[in-house]
Amino acid sequence: MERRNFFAAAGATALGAALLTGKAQAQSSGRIDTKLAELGVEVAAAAAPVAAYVGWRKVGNMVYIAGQVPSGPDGLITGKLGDNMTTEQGYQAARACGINILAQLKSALDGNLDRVVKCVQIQGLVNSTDDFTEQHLVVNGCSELFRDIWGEPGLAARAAVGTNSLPLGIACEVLATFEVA
Amino acid sequence: MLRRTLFTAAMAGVLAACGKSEDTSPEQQATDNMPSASSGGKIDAKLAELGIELPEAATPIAAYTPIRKVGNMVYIAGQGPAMSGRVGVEFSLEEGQEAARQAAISVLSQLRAACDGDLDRVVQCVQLQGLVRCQSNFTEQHLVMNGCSELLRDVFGEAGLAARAAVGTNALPIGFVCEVIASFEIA
Repeated sequence: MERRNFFAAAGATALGAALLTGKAQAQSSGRIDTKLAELGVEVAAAAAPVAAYVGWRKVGNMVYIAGQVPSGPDGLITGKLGDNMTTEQGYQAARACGINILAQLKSALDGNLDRVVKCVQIQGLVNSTDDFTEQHLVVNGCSELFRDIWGEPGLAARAAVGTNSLPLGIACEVLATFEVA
Repeated sequence: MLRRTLFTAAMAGVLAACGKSEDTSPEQQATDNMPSASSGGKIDAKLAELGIELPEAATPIAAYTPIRKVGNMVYIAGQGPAMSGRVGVEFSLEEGQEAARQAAISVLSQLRAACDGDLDRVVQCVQLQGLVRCQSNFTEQHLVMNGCSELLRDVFGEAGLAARAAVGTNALPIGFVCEVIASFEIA
């Protein structure tokens, strides 16, 4: 939580607090924002990058989101599937990555998630032991969130992959690209 | 260091001349078909300032093409450094960063080829995915990848940064320390 507040503060400083407030007001009336409220999903301000990268890039009508980490109310969700995490816990971690993707996407779209046409690609990397084979069920945590929000266009040409290690020991990392209007 | 020299020599043999030597061999002249106009570019000047000499773009070592262009997008095949080993085992974090930097230089070589020799056409780096070879207890892949990202930022400024992902892996082709996959928007 402390970390998230810190990021939020850093983000606010970087982008200008007034601007963010203005965006927050403009976005509260959107169709997708209503959907998010209905689902009880709260999207925080986009986290500032922790290394030499940007949160997103736009090229034409495509938005590319940097690999997002799972941060929950207690900070980063760390762990390894097949060792100290259940598939359900991994699913929740992937969902947390999805919520952070929404934050970046919102930043890329000037706060208006209604501009999303479809999710194009999702790559989910799951911190796993060698014998854990349910990466696809873990990444469903992100995919099902997006489907709940956008319906079928929220699903993506997806890949779920296991890895022996991720930055800061996080349980999973999700990369996404979207087509926007 | 010895390992590196050896590996570099091997790479030079397998992947064609590195373009490092002062004397220009006939083969190198043959492959050195970059338009000479490129030497006057803004980015080429930047590279010279940073002391970076781009080798010839490496030829593929398997069934793939090093670059694909679609519209104004360039997709670059995974590039590796001339270093074999794992970060946190055979190599320190700093050495891992050097490996990522080497991979970035290979990315630039491919990119220059994709831009017909003119790196000034690069609009922005769009995506970077860095795979870092390591054991399960190593968790600083993002810092390793900074070796790549910071070089691209030094060359292109903020436009050189990408929507990035840093990931660990237990194994890579030829034992590469890391592999970098990149896409760019060009004009």
